[in-house]
Order: sequence, then C-alpha cells, then structure tokens
Amino acid sequence: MKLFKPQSVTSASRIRGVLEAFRDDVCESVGTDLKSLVVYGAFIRNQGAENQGAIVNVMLVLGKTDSQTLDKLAAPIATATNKIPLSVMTLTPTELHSSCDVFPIKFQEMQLHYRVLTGEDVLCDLRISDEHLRLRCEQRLKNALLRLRAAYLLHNLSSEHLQAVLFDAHAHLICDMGACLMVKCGMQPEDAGDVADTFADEFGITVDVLTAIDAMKISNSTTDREDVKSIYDRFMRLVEEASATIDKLEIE
Amino acid sequence: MSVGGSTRIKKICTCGKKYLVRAELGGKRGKCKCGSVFTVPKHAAKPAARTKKCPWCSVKIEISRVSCQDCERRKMRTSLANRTLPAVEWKIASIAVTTAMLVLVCAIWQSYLNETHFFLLYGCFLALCFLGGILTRVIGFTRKLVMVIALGFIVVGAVRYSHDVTLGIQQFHGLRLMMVFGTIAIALAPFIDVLLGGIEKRSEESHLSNCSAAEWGNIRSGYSGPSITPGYGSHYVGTSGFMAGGCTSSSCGGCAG
Ligand SMILES: [Zn+2]
Ligand SMILES: [Zn+2]
Repeated sequence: MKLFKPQSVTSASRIRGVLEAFRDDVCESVGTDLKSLVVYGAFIRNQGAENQGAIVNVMLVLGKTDSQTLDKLAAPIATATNKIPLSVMTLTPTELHSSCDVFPIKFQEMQLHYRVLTGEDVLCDLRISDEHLRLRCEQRLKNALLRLRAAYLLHNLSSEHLQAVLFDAHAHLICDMGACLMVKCGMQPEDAGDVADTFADEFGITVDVLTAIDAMKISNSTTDREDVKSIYDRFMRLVEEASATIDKLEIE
Repeated sequence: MSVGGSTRIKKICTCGKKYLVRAELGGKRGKCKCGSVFTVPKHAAKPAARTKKCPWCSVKIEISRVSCQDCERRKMRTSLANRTLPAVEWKIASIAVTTAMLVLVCAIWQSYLNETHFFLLYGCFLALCFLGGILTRVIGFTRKLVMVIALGFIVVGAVRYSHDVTLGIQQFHGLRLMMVFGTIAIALAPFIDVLLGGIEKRSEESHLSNCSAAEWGNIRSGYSGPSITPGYGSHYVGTSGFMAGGCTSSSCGGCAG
C-alpha cells in the first residue's frame, strides 16, 4: 500500500551528486578491483533535462566478482538506491568482451549513451559482429511478435492495456530498428525519430503506425478501443515485416 | 565466446545529429538525415592517456582529475545545497522537542478542560498534522506546515488559558503520556509514507519480478523516491504483462539480454 507518492522530480544535478558519491564509495570499498564505472542509458541520453524518474543504469566492471567483493559493494549500492532509482550490473572485463555475441544489441545501445565515471572506457572497443547483431535482432523481433499476439489475446477488450503494451513495445522496436540499420548500413542515428525514418527509407517499410503511437502517447488519454485495435494490428504487421526483412538480410 | 566483429565510433554531423558508425567505415562517406555528406573518422588507436573526457560535459581534462572545473564547482554547489538538508531536519527536530515541552506546559494549563472535549481537540490536531504530512508530500508544502499546526495546538492552549477557559480535565494520568508521545506522532506524521514504505519494501521483496533474470541480473531495490516509468533501461514488463516470461529486451536494465 502506498498512501501517496513524493511529488518532487529527481533533478539531474541531484542524481549526478548521488552518482559521484557512489563512485567515491565504490572506489573506496573495492579499491583496485574496480576497473570501470559506467553510467549508461536514459539518464545520459537526457543529460541536462530533468530526469522523469527513469532508472539510472550503472555498469561496474570488476576484477573479481566473488561474494567477498560483492559484499563490499552492498553498502554503497544500498546508499545510492535509497536516493535514486539505480540499476547496477556487475561484470568482469573478460565477461564483457566474451558476451558481445549474446548481448550485441544491449551493448550497442550502451555505446550510444554512456559516460565513464571512473576507470577505463571499456565500451569503446567492444567488438560486435554483424551476424550476432542480426541473429539477436531477429530473435527479439520474433519474440516481440509472439508477445504482442499473446498480449492481444489477453487484453483485446481493454484499450488501456493494449495502449500500454504498444508504448512498451514501441520503445523496444526502435532499438531493434537501430540494430537492423547497423547490420545493413553500418551506421545508426542516435535520435529515435531518425532511426524510424531511416529504417523506413532503407528497408522500404512504412512506419506511419509509430507516428500514430507517438500521437497517442502525447494525447495522454485513452483512445477509442477500435482505433487502438487498428493501431495494434498495424504495429503487429510492422514487427512482422521487420522480422521477415531481418531474416532475409545478407551479411556482407 | 565472441569472435570477430567490429568496434563503433561516434560521428556528429555539422547539423548536430549524432550517429553510431561501424569503425570499418572510417574514411568512407556517410549521409546525414539533413542531406549533408560527411566523412566517417578513422578509428584512432586509444590515445596515450594524458587526458580524458569529463564524464558530465565531455571537456578534456587531465587524467588525474575526476571531472572538469565547471562540473566540480557545480558539485560543490549541489553538496552545499544538500548540506542544508540535515540542517533543516535538525531544525524540525528542535521544533518538535520545543513543541513537546510547550505542549506539556499547555497540557497542565488545559487540565481543567473536559476530558472528552480535550480528546476531541487533540484528535483534530493530530488529523490536521497527518493531513499536513500528506500535503507536504503531495502538493509540495514544506514540512514547516506540520510544525505550524503543532505549534497552533499550543497556541490554542495558551489562548484558552488567557481567556480562562481551563475547565475540564482533572484526571491527568494517561493523558500525560499521550501529550508526550502524541507530539512525537505529530513530528513523524510527514514521514508516514517512508515508514509504510519500509514495511511495503519488505513485503515486496518476497515477490520476485516477472523477469527471471531479475533474480540475478541487476540490483534494484530500496528506492523510495519518485515512481519509475518504464522505458529505456527498464524491464520489458508492461503493466499489461507484455513480458510474461523471461526478458528479451536489450535495453533492459534487469538483464543483459
Ligand atoms: Zn546533418
Ligand atoms: Zn565537466
């Protein structure tokens, strides 16, 4: 039960302060075992703007990841998570480099928006293979399609639920589109709108439905059920087309 | 095991649009959305670390520095602003203690008040304090409001006394305790959600997230601040249960997938 929520929005400068204190605490507690501390994702993307409660993602690259080292991290993480919505990922440098085959999209997304708070820049020389990127992208798109259908079967009577599913899936589709572009052209724009437009141009797939979803997001009210269903249908077709295209995409 | 592949470089067009480019394309031409053609920079070998970028504003700084001068100044300002926070809490605590003592004194003054009336009056003030606590959180009123109400309680007692309306309460047994601990309740009223949050957090911990990866992936608990909006970096778990099984999102903060 939550009686009421605090109204104050976590300001960017406050988050910076907490992150800097977190860095100092982690440096102090794990010492030379800390190879790198990287902040990535939405907070870096929206630098300067007020952070509307989005999660602050942090990657800790550690020389050792045994329970003793993790124990040392517990206190700094607890202090920081009490102040900001922090999400921490811990890896060793070897794990990071050897995981590019299984998490290529995740790492590529990280490369788009990140800052090194201390230590080496471990993200700049990650080697991501196009075939892994393509495979992962195809898997994600097909997975999304299955989930979209499952969600439709479950929620087709509620336009609010369908809308929520669409908003969620939309953000992830943009990410997949970026990966598709990287596979095909070797470059992807940073801006989400540009990603969708470039994707449409490069693959000859209409992405108008994304504009409709954006409009729905902005209007912030529940759209008519039939309208939502039609948008949902168009969105499913877009994902279907995208997954079929990436399936056939040849790697040079 | 990851074999082969290529690194990525960032290219900013003159129009300001940013691109992530495969390093192999270094030296080749790329086209921006704005129409202009740019040359992709060649991937430079890691510079002999003399300088690095400030993590917040990308200004070049000496390797030994943590951030640039501007950012350090900003940090100082923020920490100064933060330092005033405990001072405010301290003030509130001292107000609470003073209030407690004053209420005790007033209680003795008010000891002639009818007991039922006194309880009613006291209950009203507690309700006001509780409401004030909610307002401080929801509408953004300062916590001082709660203190004002608490002090109002005393003022009412003082006014009653000055007007000689001190009839009533003769028995002062349990009431004394209520007067003391009641003020503590008043002081704690604004933090009721934090107290409830603590209980809530513990019960939440027993529920595992939809995403199996959350069990081992990321640590994300204990935060009691503003609500978290789903989006980049959040689990691919919609309110609608879009992600019923494992998480497949690349941008998921909860797992690397
Ligand atoms: Zn341009
Ligand atoms: Zn700076």
